[in-house]
Amino acid sequence: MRILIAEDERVTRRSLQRQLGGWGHDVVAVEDGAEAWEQFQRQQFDIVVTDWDMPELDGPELTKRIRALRQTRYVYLIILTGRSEKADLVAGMESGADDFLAKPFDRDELRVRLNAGERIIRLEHTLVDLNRDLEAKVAERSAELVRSRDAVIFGLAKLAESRDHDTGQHLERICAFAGILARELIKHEPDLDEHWGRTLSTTAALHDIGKVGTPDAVLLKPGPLTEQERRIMQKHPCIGGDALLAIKERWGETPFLTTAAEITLCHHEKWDGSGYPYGLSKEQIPLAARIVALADVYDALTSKRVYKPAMPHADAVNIIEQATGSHFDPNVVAAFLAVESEFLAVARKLR
Amino acid sequence: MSDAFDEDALVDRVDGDLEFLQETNAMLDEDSPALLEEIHAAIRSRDAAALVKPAHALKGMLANFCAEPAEAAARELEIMGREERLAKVAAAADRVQRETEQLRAALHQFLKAKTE
Repeated sequence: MRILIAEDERVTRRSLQRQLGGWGHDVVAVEDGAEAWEQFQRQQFDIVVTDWDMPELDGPELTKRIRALRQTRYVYLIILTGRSEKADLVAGMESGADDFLAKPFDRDELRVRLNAGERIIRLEHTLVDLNRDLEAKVAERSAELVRSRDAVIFGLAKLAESRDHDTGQHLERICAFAGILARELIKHEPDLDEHWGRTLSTTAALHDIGKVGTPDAVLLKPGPLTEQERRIMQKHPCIGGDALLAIKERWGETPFLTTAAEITLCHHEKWDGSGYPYGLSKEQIPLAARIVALADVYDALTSKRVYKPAMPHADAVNIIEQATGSHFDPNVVAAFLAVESEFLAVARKLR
Repeated sequence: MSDAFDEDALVDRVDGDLEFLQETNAMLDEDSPALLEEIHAAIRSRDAAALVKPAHALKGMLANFCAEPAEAAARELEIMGREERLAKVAAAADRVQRETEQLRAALHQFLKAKTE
């Protein structure tokens, strides 16, 4: 154990130091409470043995200060005193001491009282270690669960998308674009944090999951859609959103499901209110959906389809910039313009 | 055998480590005269509060040597100070002085005999 001794009388201090050192403890001995307080703030001690009456800072005051630090590791405090009045004992214990030892200290009494302290300190250390192990295990399990959840979500989204035209790594790109925009927006918005950004980036994969309910004849039609076909196509946000809301109702609300539902339901809404399914405008549209809307359009423009070639990055940036305030949230466009080179890098990497 | 301290108890207290006893004995030689001087000064100025501190410190120091007579004298002096009973304080201080000096002499004699 690391033990700090505070005792102003030299012979007692030296005797304690010799005795405790002889029992194999690592001992620091100082001659008053103020110095003890200094040492205590500088080093870690398991046990403090302090005299009561000392100049400047006495034992009970030193004890109070140590307890006020509220260290995570417990410190066992023994007050050494020639006082034997009940009132003194009460005052000493109330200051936060664990035990009393009468002066002149008796060697055997010192040993057993110290043993009691050691037992508590060791128990406490064991608890701290157990807690740490437990926390590590919980973190590991949580990470595993999150990985499994993300894998299932991405797998489902991928499965739903498999009916669509060959879009390459469209979902991977959308997730990456949403993540990039989230990171940029977090810098300027104190209400947003990394956790929100990660949730957004993961759930962005679900944006088109409602297309599982779109008939092949409409979904896979190579030419332009008729008015009726467009109406059928435009149902996909509600199909996906309803599915997610039903899950939410069954399993309870989580930020994850809420964000997923917002994105799925509202990623075709436009800033000026001309989008679908509800014609929401501006802040009525959830931020997550405003972000995915831009990511989705950028990806559609810069990807090759059976019916159109890929548009160069610069042209896509231009189109998006021109749609500021009409199709897109000006803040999201500003974030996009700050990180557009990262979009290009992702588009090149995830074809 | 001296009446100033309990030889067996003292040897046991330091686990027979006479070298350590010499070290603490030297501390007693060095520190006790100053404490006694503080005690006398407090009494001269009739300052009970100023008497308590050196009497308390000396009592604590003496207690390490299993020196019951000297320790008891210092304790009595400390109590007189705490209770502000200064009527017989000069005689009590003289007793502390005498007992402390006797203890020091007895310790020296004891250590000399043991280490020769």
